[in-house]
Amino acid sequence: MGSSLPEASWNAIEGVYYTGAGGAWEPIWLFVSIGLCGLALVLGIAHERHAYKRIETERHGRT
Amino acid sequence: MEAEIARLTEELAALTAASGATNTMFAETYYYLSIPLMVLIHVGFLSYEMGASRQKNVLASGIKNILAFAFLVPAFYYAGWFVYWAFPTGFSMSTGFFEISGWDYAVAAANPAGEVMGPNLADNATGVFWGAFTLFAATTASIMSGAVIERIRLFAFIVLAIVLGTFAWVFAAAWGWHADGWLVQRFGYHDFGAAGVVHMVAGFFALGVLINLGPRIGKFNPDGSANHIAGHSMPMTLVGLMTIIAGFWGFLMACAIVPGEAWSWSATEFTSIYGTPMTLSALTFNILMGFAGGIIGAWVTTRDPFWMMSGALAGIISCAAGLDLYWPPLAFAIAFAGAAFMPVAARFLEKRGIDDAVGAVTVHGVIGLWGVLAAGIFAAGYPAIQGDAGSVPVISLTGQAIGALVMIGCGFVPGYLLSLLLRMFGMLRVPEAAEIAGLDIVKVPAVAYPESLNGGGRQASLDTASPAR
Repeated sequence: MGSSLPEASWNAIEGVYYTGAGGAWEPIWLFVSIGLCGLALVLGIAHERHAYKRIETERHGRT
Repeated sequence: MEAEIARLTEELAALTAASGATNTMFAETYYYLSIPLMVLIHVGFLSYEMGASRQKNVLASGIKNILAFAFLVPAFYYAGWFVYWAFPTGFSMSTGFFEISGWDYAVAAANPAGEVMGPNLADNATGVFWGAFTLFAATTASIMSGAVIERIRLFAFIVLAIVLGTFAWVFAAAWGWHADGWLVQRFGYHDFGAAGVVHMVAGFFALGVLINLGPRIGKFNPDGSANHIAGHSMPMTLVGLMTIIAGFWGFLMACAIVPGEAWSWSATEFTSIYGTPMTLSALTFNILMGFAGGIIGAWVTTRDPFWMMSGALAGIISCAAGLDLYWPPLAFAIAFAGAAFMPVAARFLEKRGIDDAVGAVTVHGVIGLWGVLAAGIFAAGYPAIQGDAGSVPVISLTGQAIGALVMIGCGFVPGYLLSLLLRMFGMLRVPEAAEIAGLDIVKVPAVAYPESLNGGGRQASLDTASPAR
């Protein structure tokens, strides 16, 4: 996290400059963002299953 | 030989002039095109707020939004643009470090009676810059607009919008969104996409107004529990929010400074408004990741399409301060976190009796605060302006926190005080009978849905109150 510049100046910076470039945080945030997508999908599947099960239970309960 | 040299010299001069003219036309066109894109933000807010209103208030909400945009244009021409250039160093209006601020500079660059504030063949920049900032100003008013629907008087809203769009956010911008601004120079405050300067100021201004305005009739029960007041068209609201996202591209492109002009920071590369280097590619990575992370984060914690689209906004606002600096997966995570937190913030406000009809205080105020602080956490150490190491301020959590406090003050204090004054004179809120009957039937000479089964809600409203006409 934080500045990836070699010193606190924009002088002579030409290439990559994003936060944490070249450090340990790059792969960490990469896997965190992928993990969040995966988590969202897993929770989404669970939510959907629960919703369908509830309506089927209500329907069978009425018949 | 000499003739050949003379010919080549002449040709070189012509090519240089042509190249310069091309760059000037590009720069002018760049900002010109950002403006209709930013107008899409207002298309979006119009649709969003009308959809969030009950049928009996839909056109009144629309009128409010339209007039906010309209009044901000002359107000920003007469005063707002001047404030931005005159006050970066504080109330002294002294000239700043880069000598692009202060009274003298503002008189030359932003005097409404001056030569550059009108058609001028020697000036290809003032109009388009002023236009972009005017749209920023109108955006602040639109942010407040949604929070106060269905019960604010039109005159009061216009006055509040003018104060917010012409002064409140502009002081914040002069101090924190200008290379000479004292927040930047002293504390390294960094806010590329105006998370604090626009969103926090507008969100906390809205909070100040909401405290005095009070909740809609029927929002809260005697025991303090809240009722959900559904808008009449969620699809209209969703399309509106997505349109705002399209317009955001114009907003963010206008935050970048084109290179190669006399007023540019750099001859060869885009820079932020602070003069620090960046690329449009960097913006594109982080804007898209911000929107995506926001939508997904809100989906996880709410499952509600309204909050999911608000999450898109919350996501981009979460990343806005450091959009020029973040590693894209980090931007995704910051956006996800901000959007996932939205319902917590919204419930907190609702429990305290604040009726924010569209979540403006949550999305813009609270999440804007997260966005400002996130830059201090994740982008600490970057130099805030150009210069040699050791001689320029750097981004820090402390600096961002100080900036955030200033943004809260710039928003909340005028919003609260002015709305209190309007309330004391009985000019803030519509009468109870008008609120119950519906604002459309009371003051709008048009019907939103003349062929709907209940006459657009007018018949039901007529049954419950006498019309004012």
